Amino acid sequence: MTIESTQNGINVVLKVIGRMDAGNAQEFEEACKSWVNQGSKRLIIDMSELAYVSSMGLRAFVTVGKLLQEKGGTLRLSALTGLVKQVFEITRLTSVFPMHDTVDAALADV
Amino acid sequence: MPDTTPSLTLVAELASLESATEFARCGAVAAGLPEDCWGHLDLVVEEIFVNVVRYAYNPGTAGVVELTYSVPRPGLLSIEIADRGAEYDPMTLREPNLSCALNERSVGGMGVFLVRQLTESLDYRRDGGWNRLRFGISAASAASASQ
Repeated sequence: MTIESTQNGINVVLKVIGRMDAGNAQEFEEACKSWVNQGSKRLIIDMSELAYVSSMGLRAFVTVGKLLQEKGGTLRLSALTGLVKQVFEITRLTSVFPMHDTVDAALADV
Repeated sequence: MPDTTPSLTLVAELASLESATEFARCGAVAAGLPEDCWGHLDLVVEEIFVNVVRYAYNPGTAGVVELTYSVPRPGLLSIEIADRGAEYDPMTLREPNLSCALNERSVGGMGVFLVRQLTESLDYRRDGGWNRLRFGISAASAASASQ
């Protein structure tokens, strides 16, 4: 898994590429927490190239989402596809996080 | 008649997960599962395997995980994942509450739920000190999970 972070005004976009599993989900959580600890309140996850996520990854998304919510921020998810989209739908996390078809749509949502 | 059921014994540690999923992929090929459900298979194997790694054995104890697969009929893959750890029947777990808001959502409990949703069958038995969890997966069970 590779994580590319880009600051765009008040938004931080983290593009997650590859597979998020039990071996690396913590890495994603730490990357998000690092931005939150620096004061970022609007994190957007670009999932267009995330091909796989297991429950350890879901745990990381929920943990970061809760942390941001406590600080008055929001975790936005964008461009889910294939198996990842199916996993988020099965676990109904699609109704927990703001979902966007594209990163641009997430950036535009105020 | 010799026992030709393919099996693999691994150390119960996270570093063995890739070997477990590769073994399961061999079963997928044998069963003729289409490639678009291999990710679902990886997910089911990971969830069960990681539960064994995290909970079956006492910390510092070198435990084992044994995987076997069979093909009951073309298109259906049956995999058993067994460990000699503490008795643990995941079938007794309550389903997580998925309809609550983020601040009330539990961070865990979704692994076994996903396994249930993505498999055609799931059976647990305690057998002479072994936990044996067997699941069946097919293209149909993987595809119907989100419907």
